[in-house]
Amino acid sequence: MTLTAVPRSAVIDMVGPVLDDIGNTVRVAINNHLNAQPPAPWLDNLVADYPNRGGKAIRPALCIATCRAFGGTLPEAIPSAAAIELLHNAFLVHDDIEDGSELRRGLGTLHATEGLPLALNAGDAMMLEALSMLRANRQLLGPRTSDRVVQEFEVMLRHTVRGQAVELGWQRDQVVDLRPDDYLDLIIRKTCWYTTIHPLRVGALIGGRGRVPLEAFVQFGTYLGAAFQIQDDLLNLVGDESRYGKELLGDLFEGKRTLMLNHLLGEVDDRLRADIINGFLALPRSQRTSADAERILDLMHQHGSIDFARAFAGGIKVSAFASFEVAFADAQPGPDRAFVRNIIDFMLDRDL
Amino acid sequence: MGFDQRRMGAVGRHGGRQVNSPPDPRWQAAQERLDDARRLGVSITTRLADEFTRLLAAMPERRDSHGDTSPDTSHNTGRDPSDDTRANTRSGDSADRIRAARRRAERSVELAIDSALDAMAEAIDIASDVAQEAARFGRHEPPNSLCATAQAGSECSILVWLHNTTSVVAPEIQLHLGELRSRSGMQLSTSIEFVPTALAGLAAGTSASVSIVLTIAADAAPGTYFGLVFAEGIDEPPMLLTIEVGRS
Repeated sequence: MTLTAVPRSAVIDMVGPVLDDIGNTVRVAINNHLNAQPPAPWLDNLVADYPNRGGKAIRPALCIATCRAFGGTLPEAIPSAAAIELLHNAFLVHDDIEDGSELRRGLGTLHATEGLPLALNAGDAMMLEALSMLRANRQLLGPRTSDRVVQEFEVMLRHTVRGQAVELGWQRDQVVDLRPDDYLDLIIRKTCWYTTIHPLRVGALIGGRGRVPLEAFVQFGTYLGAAFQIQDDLLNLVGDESRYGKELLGDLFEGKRTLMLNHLLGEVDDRLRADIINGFLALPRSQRTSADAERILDLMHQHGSIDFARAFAGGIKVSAFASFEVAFADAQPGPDRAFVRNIIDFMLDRDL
Repeated sequence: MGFDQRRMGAVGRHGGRQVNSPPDPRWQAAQERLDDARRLGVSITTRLADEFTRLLAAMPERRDSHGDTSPDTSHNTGRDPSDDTRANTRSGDSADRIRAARRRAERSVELAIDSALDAMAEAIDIASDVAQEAARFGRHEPPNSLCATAQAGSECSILVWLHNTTSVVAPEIQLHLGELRSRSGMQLSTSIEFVPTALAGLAAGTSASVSIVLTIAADAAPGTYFGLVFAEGIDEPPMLLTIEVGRS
């Protein structure tokens, strides 16, 4: 039995400034790296666009805090943390194209403002520059640790693109008989790995110079990332658009097989299920109406799908606290360790 | 996640005092469904995380562009067997042999530096452990802490989360708050209420929250006050509550 002796609002207050601080530091590192490259018209502005819109910076913050908790320093973690953030932004550019999204961080998506071909190319360039940032690790960390960091990036990228393929495949091929297990397997690949597992492992690898066992970070990162993604899916349905920065109900318009949608399809009778599948999910995005999306949201409320997802994530959150203690058993007590622990609450309490 | 207060039919407020009424069967059924969802979340995620951990451990070692295997195994030999292969197949090429020799020399230097750094890091770890043990000797671990701010004459609410990380249902848990006093010993005049008054039967792997509602007296002096929150029914140390009271 444990008590969490921090009020909900206080957790947000504690985590928020750290995220802002690290977000700024990482943005400076990314801009410095981009500015050091030869000028490229129709590319430079686009590559720098998403990173400079500001994001939550959860991924670099996890990497840096974990690195410092295991004895590393900020400068040692910066190239890897910035590379993770730039890769994340590259994924977002491509993800927005794949999903046909209109809003990103409160502004128009890159393909909506610059056109699809240039946006697609900018996403490719962001991946290149992210990996290029890792070259600095060789000087900072030595060849062995920097090679291991590159291997971690390779594993992460493979999981992420495979997970993304599964999600897009489900949508294209109208896969609807999905259980919570299928959803969890998907989000571990497409979200958890690059959002939590990878930043934690890379941070521990750099901070501990390869002496920290990394297995426990898969467990902790899975709980943390799953809680993050389920909260993200919930915010897309019941969040505050002005805070959230993306269009509400966007996941419904895209036909994403979220935990809530899978739960709803498993709860409704056959007639209603067929109605949702044929009358909404089978349609192209352009033919799905706001009224239909609102109706599905109402059905989710009526059939307890929202409550189910919240409770599901709540159970994961409790396990995250226990697995944190295992993964960070050898970390130095202090603000960095405390920050990562507070992130667990933040993941489920955030509204953006 | 905590219990939704609006749906807690078992505990209601009446005339400013807590009263208990029989639980609504529909509410109970809904709670059981939510408990099932929580347990499902834990069991599926744990199983998949285990599978991914095993998958990672079973991945074949990859040779990188430098011909090195994973860094830890390179510790064992300090040289790369592929260098020999390359050198043998092109034995007449003296430039290749020189490059291979240079790589081996670089690896030897790396190995020596790594070994020295490892030894230093271990020594630092040991010294750090000893220092921490010495610092811990003779003092208790600091309690968990809660912080809040309030104005004189106003009400403030502090949320305490209880996580049942055991595998059994928790007994009834009741929170208590001791006197709130400033560093100079001045007592803060306040009324205290816990919502709900007690938590009964918190299921394994679930969480619930209790709100500590403080109504600060209108004539309370501004300052920082401290008090201890005790949890009756579980073996947990008290938490320190720090409350900053400002002028109304």
